[in-house]
Amino acid sequence: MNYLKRAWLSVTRRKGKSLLLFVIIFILSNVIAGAVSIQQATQNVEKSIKSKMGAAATVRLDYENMKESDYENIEELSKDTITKVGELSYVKYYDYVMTGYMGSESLKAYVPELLEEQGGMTSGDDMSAYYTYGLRGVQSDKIVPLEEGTITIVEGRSFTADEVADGKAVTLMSKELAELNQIKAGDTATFVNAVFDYENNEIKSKTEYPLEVVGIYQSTASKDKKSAKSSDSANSDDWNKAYQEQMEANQIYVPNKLVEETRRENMTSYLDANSDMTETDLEESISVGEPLYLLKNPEDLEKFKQDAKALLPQHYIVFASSDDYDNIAGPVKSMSKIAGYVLIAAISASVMVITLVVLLFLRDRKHELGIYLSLGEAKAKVVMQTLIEVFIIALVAISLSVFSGNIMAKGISDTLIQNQIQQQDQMGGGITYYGLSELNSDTTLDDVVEEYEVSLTPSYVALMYGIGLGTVLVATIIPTTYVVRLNPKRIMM
Amino acid sequence: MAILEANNLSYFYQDGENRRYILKDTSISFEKGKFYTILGQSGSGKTTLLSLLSALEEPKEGRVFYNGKDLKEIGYETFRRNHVGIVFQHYNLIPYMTALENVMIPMAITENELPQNQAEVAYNLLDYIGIVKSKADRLVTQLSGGEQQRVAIARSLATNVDVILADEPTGNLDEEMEAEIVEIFKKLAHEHGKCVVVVTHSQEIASLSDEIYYLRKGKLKAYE
Repeated sequence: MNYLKRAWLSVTRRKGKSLLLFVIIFILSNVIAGAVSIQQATQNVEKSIKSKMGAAATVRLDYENMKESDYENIEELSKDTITKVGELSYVKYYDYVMTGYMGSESLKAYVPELLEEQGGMTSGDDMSAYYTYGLRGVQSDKIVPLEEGTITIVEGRSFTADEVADGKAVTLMSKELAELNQIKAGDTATFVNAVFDYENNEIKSKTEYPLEVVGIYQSTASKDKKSAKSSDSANSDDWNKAYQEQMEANQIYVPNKLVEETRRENMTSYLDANSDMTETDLEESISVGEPLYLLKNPEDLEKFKQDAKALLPQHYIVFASSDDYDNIAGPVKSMSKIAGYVLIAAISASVMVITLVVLLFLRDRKHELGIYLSLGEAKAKVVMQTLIEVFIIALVAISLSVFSGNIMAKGISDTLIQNQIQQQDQMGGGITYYGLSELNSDTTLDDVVEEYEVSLTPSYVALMYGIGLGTVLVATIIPTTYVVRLNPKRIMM
Repeated sequence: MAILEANNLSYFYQDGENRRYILKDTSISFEKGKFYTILGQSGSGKTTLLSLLSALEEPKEGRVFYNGKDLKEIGYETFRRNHVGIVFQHYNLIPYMTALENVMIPMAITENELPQNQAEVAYNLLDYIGIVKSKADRLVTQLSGGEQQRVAIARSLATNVDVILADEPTGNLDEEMEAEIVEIFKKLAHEHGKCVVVVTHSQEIASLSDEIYYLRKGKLKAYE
């Protein structure tokens, strides 16, 4: 009867002790299984949502990690650098986006219902009125959101290459803004660029920009995702959605050169007022834009970030649309963190408890082990017998806990997510909105929660067995040092 | 030729600078086909001598030889596995196993060549010793003291060894059982050519053996 058979007999004939060890391992395994399930589910949802959030990226300063002294030595992002990054193999296409603002004395701005309660947008000669309409400049006639299908032309056409190259007075207007102002494709809409005297806090001059509305566009992504209509039912996500809706509806596409023109007007006035500024400084500040890169595959994002970082000047980083996932999915990420801590605690507790129980059982069987050793059995085989006995019991316990722990995780994670959501609503937070719409995802926490699913996947099962049996192995090896120190003569005689 | 031999064996406990000798300069040899007893009072060093002869303990001084080879050379574990059967006073059986399973344990441990049908061999051994098949399939805790000691003797024979060492094998048995066990030992020595060494304080057992040795104050003398 070899040690394998002896192990089997020991487990099956000493039912009380076997059951006790089974119960202990089963309980601990359930906690581990629950934590692993939650972690797996959060990883899966992150991967899935980030993939849906798209593969748009830009380059900007790493404000979060910059010190005050760093601001004095910022190198401008040159067009050459932007081009080099755009030529990386991961990039489908890229654009250089200049942005600006204008007002209008003839147009009414679009305001979502929720924000109308706040008083909507200001009008009249108030300076802020001339920041009403966002200018989104394009460097080429291949307008990225149009190419990507996130906007479609519902009336008229897009820009021609010549119109963009020559900086013609043309524009693409949103359907919301066009309908509000009864504008059709081919009509002219007049916008006003105001130059401010910041010292005296007044408008110095105004320039009218009559722009031909060559096309009217509609956003395809956010058609079904309007914000709540009333502040009674609105949460922080709804407010954020409303601001984005307003921003996007009041945004007009124009050639970059037109944006440059408005900037030149504003900056010339600034130059006159500031003798420290030179013509070179003026030109540099006028031509500042934001690069936009569309990747072929969202999964290439991290590699793209790494390769691009090597090309960028100091303090610049690549920022992607999916980087906002942490803000959107805060409650889910918090839950994953909690699950991580629980996992570590559960594994540590398992090792300690199982070690103690096995040690107590071994001391109880000192006589039996002494018999094997007195018969000439190798200590290594006696240790193996002990390991196999524990493994037989652990295998059954872990197999059952794979299912029960998974079920438990479903219930617990639902409760945890709701708690975290309530906390987030109280503290605020949620989506952060950025200038370029490609970087703004309409993904919300609801989407993340809907996608979140605790399920029995092969990787979860494999991980569970790996962690479970690994923990049991460590916990059992420690007390077997007791076997190694046994003296059969002292036990037998 | 001696199958088992002890030369100048000493065993002591170190007490600071002093040594407390359990055995001092003890020499003895044993042959196959004979039944030996080693007599001695309680605390005379009988168990220590047996533990040295059975390689359960390493001597502080001197050597033990099996078939002319030093036990240290053979390896203590290997010697116990392949060349000696030990019978203890308290049987030392695995309580949750049957008599048959207890006898089969050393069969899986030994490196000696054994027949394929080990269960059959074990049943036969038990039967020879006086444990019928129906009792062989019972848990050892369901057997009497005498029966358990028979199982222990059968276990010591399971690996076809030449040397059987027994430490007070009848200590927990009544007179009738004691006589039966001694008969078994005699049979093993005289009919099967085993070397049987029994350590005991019983004069009755000693009187039935072929050679008697007396252990007193760590020194061994042939009993005349």
